[in-house]
Amino acid sequence: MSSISADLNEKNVILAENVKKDYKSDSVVVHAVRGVDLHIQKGEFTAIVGPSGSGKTTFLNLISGLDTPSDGTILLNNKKISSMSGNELSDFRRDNIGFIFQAYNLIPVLNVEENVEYIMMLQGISKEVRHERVVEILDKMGMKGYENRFPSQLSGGQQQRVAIARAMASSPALILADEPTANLDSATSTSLLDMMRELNAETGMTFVFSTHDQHVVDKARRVVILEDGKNVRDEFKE
Amino acid sequence: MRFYLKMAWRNIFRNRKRTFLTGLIIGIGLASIMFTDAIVVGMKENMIRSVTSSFLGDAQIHREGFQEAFDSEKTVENYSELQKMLESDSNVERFTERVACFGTISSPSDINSIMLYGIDPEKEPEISKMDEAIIDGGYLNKENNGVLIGTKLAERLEVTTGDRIVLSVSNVQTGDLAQNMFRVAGIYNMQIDEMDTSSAFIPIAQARKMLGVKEGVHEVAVKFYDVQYASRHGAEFSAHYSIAGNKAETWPQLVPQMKKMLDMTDFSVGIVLIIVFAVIIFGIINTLFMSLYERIFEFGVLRAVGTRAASLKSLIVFEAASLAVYSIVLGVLLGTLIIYIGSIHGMNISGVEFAGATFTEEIKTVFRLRQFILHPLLIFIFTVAVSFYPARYAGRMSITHALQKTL
Repeated sequence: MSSISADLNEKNVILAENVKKDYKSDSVVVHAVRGVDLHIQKGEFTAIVGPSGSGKTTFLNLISGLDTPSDGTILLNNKKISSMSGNELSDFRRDNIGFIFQAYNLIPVLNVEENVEYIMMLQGISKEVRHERVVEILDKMGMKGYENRFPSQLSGGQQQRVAIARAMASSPALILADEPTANLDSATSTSLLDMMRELNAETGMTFVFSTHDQHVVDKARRVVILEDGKNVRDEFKE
Repeated sequence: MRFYLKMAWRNIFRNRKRTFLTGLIIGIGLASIMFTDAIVVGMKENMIRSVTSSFLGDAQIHREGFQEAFDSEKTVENYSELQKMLESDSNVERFTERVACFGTISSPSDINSIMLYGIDPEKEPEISKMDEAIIDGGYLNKENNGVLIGTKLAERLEVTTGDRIVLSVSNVQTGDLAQNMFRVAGIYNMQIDEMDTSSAFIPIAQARKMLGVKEGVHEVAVKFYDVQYASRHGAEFSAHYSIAGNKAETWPQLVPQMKKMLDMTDFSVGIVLIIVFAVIIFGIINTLFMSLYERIFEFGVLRAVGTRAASLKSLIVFEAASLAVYSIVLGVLLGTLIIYIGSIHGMNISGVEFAGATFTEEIKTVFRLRQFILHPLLIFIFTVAVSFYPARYAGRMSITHALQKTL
């Protein structure tokens, strides 16, 4: 408790203390996360890596409020998300977290502009402001002129650019990316990662990746290694 | 809200073939409901017409107690006042007066007891099909001493048109037997056993003279503008005209077995419609769940980025509503087409007897506003109502579980 209080400062975006997650299947209990401690500060570009089954996606789900921990404490932007109701969590994610999933995570029936403005629409931002923001961010992503295209009319790399634009459009404090390069070729992955690093440097948004892609690891400034549901190493790069 | 409506409309056309097939199934269901309604309306009107337009009329007014024993003394009270009331009644199209009594008819070969009717030869065809039912000879006119008899009675009496017969009735004034000779003017076939075997019709003036009832009337047969008026407002009519010792009854009271038969038809049709609705509803649930399972990951993404469960539920409900609108358009077009065809090319079952009535016309479908408003509205309401089940499922599903599904 004392350490949590001590770490409650404006620099922390994520503060996880002894986070555990157990899954029960019939009579078998699976310990997916076994007590992870992690502090991530504003502006970090962090990769959480580990082999399959190490608990990285589960941990990402926990710190994003998509799932609830069996034990431990998670503070996101100094707010305890485990005590929030369903709607509070939805609103909190909408306002504070941008999500990038593996490819093919855009809404197929919405065009590029509608996909990017979707979260702003949920926030109740006016059509004019949304449009300005969409134009600005698509320009930044190199997707200007694609506003009226539908996801099926885009390549995998282009779809991920739009997904990044959607995640960043509402300027959240944290961008969580779960295997964002999993379905992309090497050149496209590198290009996207470079772009995200630039955006990180430019906007100061915090990026956290769950990955086992070496490209992501290479580009990350901090690498947290999970094994068997525990963080076993935490490397900061120059 | 508009955004989700737009999304919903686009979503239902993601799989055009499936949406078309589902829409077609629901549409065929709706069209069949519309057609069933239209044909039942047509059949009921036909049945009612078969009963009422042969001779009965939509309603009849008698002196209270007349029908129990056909006592010739019991003529309608204050007929001139009644006439005025009927003439000024906006629901009454026409009416005619009759006298009726028991009597006998005899030919050189045989004698038979009959129900003798005195009718107004000019007004009667406006109410009944007496003139149309004549298959041999001609109709009555006011002056001559003609009589109309049924085919079976003619066979029994071994008479044909132009032959002489004798009618005997009891005179009300004297109590004596009054006999008159008539010539068979026409032989009719009403396809109603009672009418064809034991009824005879003469001009009302002759009948009054024989009975000694002067200007008396035993029966007033009434025809309404709307064939359904008697079913819907029969009680009002009865109450309005059952005054001064008279008794007014509409056809559901005069022929209660027909009313029961029509009620049973409504019940049977209701059961069929419930079954069709159930099939449609299960079809909709199946389609919605198929569409939902295919898009679990997508719903997971929507929830993850901040869409509230209620918004996701509303998206599913809007999709169902969009599917309903699409299906209703198909159904109404299809329904209109088959009802239109049915209204031109009816089913010919003339001669078939049902519940004491013989169908004399083709059964044709009849357009009713409810077929285009009530039935589509019910389909829409049911579709939206059943969509709450998959919507609830989508709203309650685990986001992390949904994000693992990448079909």
